[in-house]
Amino acid sequence: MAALALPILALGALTACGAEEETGTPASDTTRTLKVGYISGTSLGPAFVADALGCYRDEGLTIEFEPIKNPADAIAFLATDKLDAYVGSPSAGMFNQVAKGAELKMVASLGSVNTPEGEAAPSGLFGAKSIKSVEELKGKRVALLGSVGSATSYLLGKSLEAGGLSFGDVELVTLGSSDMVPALKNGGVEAALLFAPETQKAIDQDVAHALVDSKKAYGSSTTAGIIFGTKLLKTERATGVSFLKANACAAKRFEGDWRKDAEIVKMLADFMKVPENTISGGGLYAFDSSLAINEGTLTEMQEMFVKVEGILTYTDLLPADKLVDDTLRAEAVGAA
Amino acid sequence: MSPVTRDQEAVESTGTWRTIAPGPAELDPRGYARRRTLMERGLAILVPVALISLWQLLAGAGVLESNYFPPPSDIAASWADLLASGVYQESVLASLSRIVSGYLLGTSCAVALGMVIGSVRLLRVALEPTISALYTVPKLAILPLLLLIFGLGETSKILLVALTCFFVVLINTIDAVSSVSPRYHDVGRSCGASRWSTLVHITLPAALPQTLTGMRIASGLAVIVIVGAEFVAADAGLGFLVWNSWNLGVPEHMYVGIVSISLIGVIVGLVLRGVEWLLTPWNR
Repeated sequence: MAALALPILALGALTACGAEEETGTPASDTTRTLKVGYISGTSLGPAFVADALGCYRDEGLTIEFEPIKNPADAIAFLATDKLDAYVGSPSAGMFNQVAKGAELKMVASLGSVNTPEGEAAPSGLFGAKSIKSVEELKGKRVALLGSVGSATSYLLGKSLEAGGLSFGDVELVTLGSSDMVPALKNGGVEAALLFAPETQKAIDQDVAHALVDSKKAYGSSTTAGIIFGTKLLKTERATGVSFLKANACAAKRFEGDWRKDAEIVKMLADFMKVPENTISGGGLYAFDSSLAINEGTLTEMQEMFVKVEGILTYTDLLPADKLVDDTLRAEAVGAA
Repeated sequence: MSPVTRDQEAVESTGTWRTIAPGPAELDPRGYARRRTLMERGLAILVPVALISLWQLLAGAGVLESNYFPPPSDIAASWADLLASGVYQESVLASLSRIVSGYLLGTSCAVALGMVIGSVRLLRVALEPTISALYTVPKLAILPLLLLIFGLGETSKILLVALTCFFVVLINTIDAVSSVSPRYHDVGRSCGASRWSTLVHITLPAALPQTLTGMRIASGLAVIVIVGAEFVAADAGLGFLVWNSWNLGVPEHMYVGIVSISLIGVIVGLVLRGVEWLLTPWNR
C-alpha cells in the first residue's frame, strides 16, 4: 500500500507543480475562485448542484455564480473576461463573435432530450387544437422564447423541418415561456415551442398538443453545455479541467431518472429558487457523465441560421474546432 | 467721451476709481452677437465631433474592445449595409409609425380632456389625485396586460405610446388651464364673450405654451417607451434592431439603432419647437 501511495503522492506533487506553472498561482493557494455565468434550467443541473455535492471543493475550486438573463450578455462577459465560464447554450451571437476572432469554445455538454423510452421529451412544438400537423403551420403564428439565432430557435427549426417547413414559412412571435400557454388558449398564436412545465400545462388545460416527436426531431442534438473563454481555454487550462471534473462528478448523480433522487431535487430547487415539485414534476433531461459534445449540433445550428438573412455575419461555416475544444473534457473525464 | 465708472462699491471701500473701457460687445454689438452665435454653434458641432474622433482613436489603438465598442467608421459602414439591405428603413418606419400614431392619439385626447378638467374646478378636484397616481405607473409595466387584452399586433404598442403621452400632456394642460389668470376671464366677460369665445380666444392661447411644453416632453417619452416595448414585443423597429443585434453579437448594428433613436428624439423635439414657435408668436 505504501509502495503504491508514494508514486501517487509524487504524481500529485508533479501535477501541482504543473498547475502552478500554468496558472501562476502559488502552491499554498489551494483554492481558485471562478466566476461562472448561468442561465437557470434543469438541463444544466449538474453545474448547479456540483457545489452542494462538494465536487467543486474537491477540485480546489470556489464558484461564484452570476445569474444571466440573456445569453448575449454571457457571451459578451466571457469574451471580455468578466466571466470565466458560461453554463448555457451556444447561439448565433457566439458564432458571430468567434467569427470576429473572439476565443470562445464549447467544452462540455450537459442535458439532452434523449430521454429513455416511454419518457416524454421536456420540450417540443405544440400546436393549438385546430392545428393537426406541422405542415398546417405554414403562414401561421408560432411563439418562440427569444429570436432566431438562439438555441431554442434551433430546436424550433428542427421541429419545423420535421414538417418540411423553415423559419420563413411561419410568422415567428417572441414570447416569454409562461405567456405561451395563454397565447395558445386565446388564439394569439397557433403553435409554440414549449418547455416543461409548460408542456404539461398545455396538455392538462387541453389547449394544445405535441405536433412532433421531439426526440426524433432533435435527434442526438445537445445545446445545453459549458462554454469557456480565453482564460480557461489557454492561460488557466488546468483550472478549466478541474471545473469539468467537478461537473462530471455531479453529472454521475444525474444518470437515469434523477427526479426521483430527493437530495438532488432539493439541491437543484434551492439553487434555482423554485419549489421542489417544480423540479421533481418537471421534464426529464438525460445526462451523460462523460459530458460528451455533439460537434454536429454546432454545425447544424450554423447551417440553419445561415439560411436566414441577417443572423450570421459570415457565409462560410466555421469549422468545429473553432467552436469546440474537446481536449479539456477528455483530460477531465479520463482523469476523473 | 469720458470713460464710464461703474464699480461704486470699490470706490467706497478703497477710495480709488476703477474705469472700465467699452469692450467688443459694446463697440460692435451686432458683430459681437454674430461672432458669439457662430462660436456657440461651432462648439455644439465640435464637441460631438471631438468625442467621436476620440472614440475612433481609442478603438483604432486597441484601447477599447473593438468587438463590443467598434470604431465609428465601422458603425458608419454598418449603417450603409443596413440601408442597402432595407432593414434600416423598415426599422425606422416601424418605430416612427408607432410613435406618431400613439403620440397623436394620446396628446389629442389629453389636450381635449385637459381643457375640460382644467376649466371645471369640481372635475379637477375629483380627478387630479387619480390622474397623479396613474401618471406614476411605469407604462412599460402594463405592456403584458395590453398584449393580453389587445393581442400581439400593433394596437398594444400604439396604445402604450398613447398612454405614456396622455398623462404628461393631460397634467400639463390641466395645470396650464387652471393657471390662466381670472382677470383675463373677467375682461372676456365684460366684453360679452361666450363660453366658446372665452375658450378659443382666452383659455387656449394662455394655456398653449405650457401644453406645448408637455407635448414636447411627451415626444421624448414616446421614443423611450416604444424602444422598450420593441425590445420585448416586436419583430421590427429600432428597439428590436438594438436588442436583436446585441443578441446576435453584432454591436455595430446596435449602435446604428441607438444613434438613430437619439436622432429621432432630437428631430421630433426640433419639429415640436418649430410648431411651438409658429403657434405661440406672443411667447417668442
